[in-house]
Amino acid sequence: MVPLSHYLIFTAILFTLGVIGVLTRRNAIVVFMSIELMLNSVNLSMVTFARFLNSMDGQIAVFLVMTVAAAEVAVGLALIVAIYRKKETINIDEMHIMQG
Amino acid sequence: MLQQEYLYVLIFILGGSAMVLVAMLASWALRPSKPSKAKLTPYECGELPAQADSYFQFNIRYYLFALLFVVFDVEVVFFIPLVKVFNSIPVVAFIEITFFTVVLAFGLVYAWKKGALEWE
Amino acid sequence: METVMSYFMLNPAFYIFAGLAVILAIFMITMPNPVYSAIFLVLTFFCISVIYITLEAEFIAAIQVLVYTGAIMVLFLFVIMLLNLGRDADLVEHSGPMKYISIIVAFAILIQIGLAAKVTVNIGEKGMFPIEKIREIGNTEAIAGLLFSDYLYPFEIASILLLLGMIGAIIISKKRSE
Repeated sequence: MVPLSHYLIFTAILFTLGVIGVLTRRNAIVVFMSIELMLNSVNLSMVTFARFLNSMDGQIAVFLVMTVAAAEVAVGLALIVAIYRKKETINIDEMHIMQG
Repeated sequence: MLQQEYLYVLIFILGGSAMVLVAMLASWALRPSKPSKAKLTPYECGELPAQADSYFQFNIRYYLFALLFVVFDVEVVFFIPLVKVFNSIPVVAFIEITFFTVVLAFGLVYAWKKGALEWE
Repeated sequence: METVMSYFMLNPAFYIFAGLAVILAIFMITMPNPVYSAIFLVLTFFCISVIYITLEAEFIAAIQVLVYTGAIMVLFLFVIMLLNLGRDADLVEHSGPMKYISIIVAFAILIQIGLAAKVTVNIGEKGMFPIEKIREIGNTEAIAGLLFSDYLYPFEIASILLLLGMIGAIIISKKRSE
C-alpha cells in the first residue's frame, strides 16, 4: 500500500498547480478550469482519507461535491457567456466593475 | 489483489492503440504517395468544403442543450447506486427518490416553458 | 535509491499516473490556447480517475469519468467554441513581477500543505468500513446503502441544487437573446 503522505503530497502538488493557474492566467475560462483542478485535488484527498480511515463518508462527500461542481460549472459558464456578450472580452482584468 | 483485474483494462487499451498504430503505419509504408489538389481537400458531402476554418461561432442554443445534458447526466449518476440496492431500501427512501425525480422533471418543464428546447 | 524503487514497486500504477497527471496539469496551465488547455484537463481528470482505482474507490472513478470528463468538460469546450476563443490565443497575460510573486505564493502554499502531510501520523479514529468489508459488499452497494439511509437529506438538497443551477443558467444565458 502506498503511504498516505505520498497521496497527500500528490494532491498538494495538483492544488498548487491550480493556484498557479488561477493567479497567473488572465483568460477567465482557463482560470475556471484551474479552479476545477483544485476541486479535484481536494476530492482526491477526501477519498484518500476515507480509504486510510476505513470510512465511506469521504466517498459520499465526493459524490455530492461532484454534483455541486456540475451545477457550479453550468452557472459559472453561463455567467462567462453573459459577460462576454456585454464586454466582448473574457480577460479577468477587465472585469472589475460589479455593475453591468 | 483487486487491482490486478485492471491489468486487463490496460492490456485492452494498449492492444487497441497498437492495432490502430500498426494499421496506420502499414498503410503509410505500403501506399504510393501522389498528392493532388483534389485529394488534399477535406471530404464533405457538398461540392466544395463549406467552411475552410474550423473555428467559428456556435449558436447560444447549443449551450442550453449541453446544460440540460449535464444536469440530467448527474441525475442518472444518482440512479446508478439506486439500482444496486433497489430491493432493500426503506419506503421513505423510495418516496425521497420520487421527490428527487419530480424536482428535476420540474426543471425540464421550466426549460420547456422558457423555450430553451425550441429551435427556430 | 533502494527505497525509491521499493516504494515504486508497491503500486506502480499510482506513481506512473500521478506523475503523468502532474505533467498534464502543467501543460494545462501553460497552454496559451484554451482548447488545448481543456484537452489536457480532460487527460488530467482521467489520470485522477486511475488514482481513485488505486484507492479502490471504483464508483468514484467511474463517475469521475462520467461527470467530469464526459459532461463538465463538454460544457467547457462548448463555451470555448461558443465564444469563438479558439483563435483568441493572444489574450494579454500577466508578465513581469506579478507572475513571479504569484508563483512564489503558490509554492508557499505547497510547502504548507506538504508540512501538513508530513505530520499526519495519527490521523483520527477509524470508521466502520474497512477495505475487506467494502470488497465483500461491493463499493457501489456500500455507497448506495449509506446514500439512501444516512445521507437522504444531502441527496434531496443535491436535487434542489441541480434544479436551481439549471434555472439560473437558463435565465442568465437566455436573458438578452430575445
